[in-house]
Amino acid sequence: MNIIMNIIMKRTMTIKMPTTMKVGFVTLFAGVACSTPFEPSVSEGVWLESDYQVSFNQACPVDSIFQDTLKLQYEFGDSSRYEDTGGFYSTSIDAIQTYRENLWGICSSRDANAMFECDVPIVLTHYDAWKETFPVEVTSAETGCIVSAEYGYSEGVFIDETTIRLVNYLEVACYTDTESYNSLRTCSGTISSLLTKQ
Amino acid sequence: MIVLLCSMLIAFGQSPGLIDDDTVSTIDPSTDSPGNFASQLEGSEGEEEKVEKVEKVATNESSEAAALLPVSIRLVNGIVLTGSMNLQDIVTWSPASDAPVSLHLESGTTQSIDASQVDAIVQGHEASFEDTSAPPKRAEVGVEPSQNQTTGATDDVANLENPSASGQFSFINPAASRYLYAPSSIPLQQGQGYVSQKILFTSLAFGVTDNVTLLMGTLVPIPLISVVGGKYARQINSDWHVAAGAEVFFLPFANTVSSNVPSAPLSIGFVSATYGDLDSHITFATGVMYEQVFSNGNVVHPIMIAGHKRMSDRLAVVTENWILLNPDSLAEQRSPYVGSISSLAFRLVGRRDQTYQVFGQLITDNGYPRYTWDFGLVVVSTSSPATLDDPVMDTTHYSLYSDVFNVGPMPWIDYTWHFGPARRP
Repeated sequence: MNIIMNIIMKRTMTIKMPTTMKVGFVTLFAGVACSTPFEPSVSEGVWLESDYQVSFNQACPVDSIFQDTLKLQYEFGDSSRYEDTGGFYSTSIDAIQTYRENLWGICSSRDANAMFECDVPIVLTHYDAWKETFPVEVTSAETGCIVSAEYGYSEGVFIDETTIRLVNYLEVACYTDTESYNSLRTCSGTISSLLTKQ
Repeated sequence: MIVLLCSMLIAFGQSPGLIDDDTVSTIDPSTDSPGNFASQLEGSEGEEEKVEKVEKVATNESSEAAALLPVSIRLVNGIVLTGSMNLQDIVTWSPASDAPVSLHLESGTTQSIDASQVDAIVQGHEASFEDTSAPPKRAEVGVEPSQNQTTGATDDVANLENPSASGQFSFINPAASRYLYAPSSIPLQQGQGYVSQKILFTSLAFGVTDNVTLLMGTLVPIPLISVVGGKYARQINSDWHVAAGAEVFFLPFANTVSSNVPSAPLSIGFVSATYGDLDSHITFATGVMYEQVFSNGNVVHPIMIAGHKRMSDRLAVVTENWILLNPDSLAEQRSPYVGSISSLAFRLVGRRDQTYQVFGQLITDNGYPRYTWDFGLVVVSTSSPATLDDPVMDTTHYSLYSDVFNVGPMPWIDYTWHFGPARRP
């Protein structure tokens, strides 16, 4: 057996790879090495939101609400779920707020890359933190109408290991009752922000 | 599978033992009466009496035989053959002649001897070669190139023709001007050309001059993609060639599909340098490429490294590798890598005749294939960064993370028919 192995080893060692082949392999691996794949473990940790830019309908001035002083913090939770594209939908803001430390529960990366989408605007997971002066909430306090989260979502991208750019598309309405869907006030707009790993 | 492919190609790559007009150092065994010729060669060394009987051929009574004169031919290996030759052949023969020598043997057969093997010819069977002062007819295989190269930079291609530049093979590589797709900096000579069929893509290259090569190609049978291009190339010394050129790819039916489809999605201008000889060379090329294939309309800079290594008369290994870089990405602290193409192929080398043929046979005068086959594998990789469109800030955020898409390895098959003459000395 040893004799056979020695023969095999000698044969193997005497095979010389032509320079032509080496050039091909080196170039191939150099090209692949130029790419940086996303690792979901990057999402682990606490992320602080800042640098708000907003664009809302005229009936809903919110510029003064979304400021860095809010210091909203998020966590993605179990990173192994970042490819879980199971849907989530709820008009209950209270239900949405249970996900602020488990964003992979409502968010996912469709293509298993650095981009992710969330089934609801994740800024709503901190609704209680900024609702006090939110026009819809003010109307609700004045009239007793029912606040409801309408269609919305978030999109984000991991820029690097410590930075996420995020865009929230949200619409919040205040209905006089749950049957007619007669809204007394609706806020519809987009919030752009930056998440920085703490 | 790759090992199996390699084994098959190596098996096919063995030299068939045939020669052509431009053969340097072999005697054609495929000519008339090989058995007789072999016996003559054997006899010439140990049984001279047997060989010398050939002189009686001159007594042939036919009218054609009346023009035959007894001669002795000394081969480059020192062996002396006797027989008779046609008077006109004797008159026109010179040490620099490339025409095969026809020697009429006593047996009545005519044996063709490759010109490269003939060192000297004297009339008569008893004549001495001591008196011949003819210089060596041509360089022998294995002589250093510097001893045989013509001097002066004006003869750009002459040095290429000297087979002793590599000294290992019996004929000149006809496919040194190209890799799998990209050209090397080694030019075709005037009148040389090839038609290449790459899967469904047909291309034609033609040497307009010794330095200028034009190229055109298209998809067949429907010309969905077409290309035109040109290359200027020249030799700057015994080891280096340089070239510059351009190619433009067209989509002839782009506007019929959609106004958004570009009619010229890929254009490239390049410069290149090739180090080596016709048999073993490596090329580095770069340039400017406007492409809408890997990106949405970027000017990118390709870097191409290709190599060709001839392993035997008929077998070569070829690799061609591209990396596409977008330097603008560096300004945004992103990777400039756009995509890459890597390939490795085995080439079954064909050859050209010395005679000029533009439209003609698939084989040379002596039965050697005029075509070259490439069998290999190609991998195409692209990389695109993750992005986020931000309507509030009216911008696009780019991630440092990128997605890599690999296509392949895909099989690569190329059939190339060489036309025009062999390289001129």
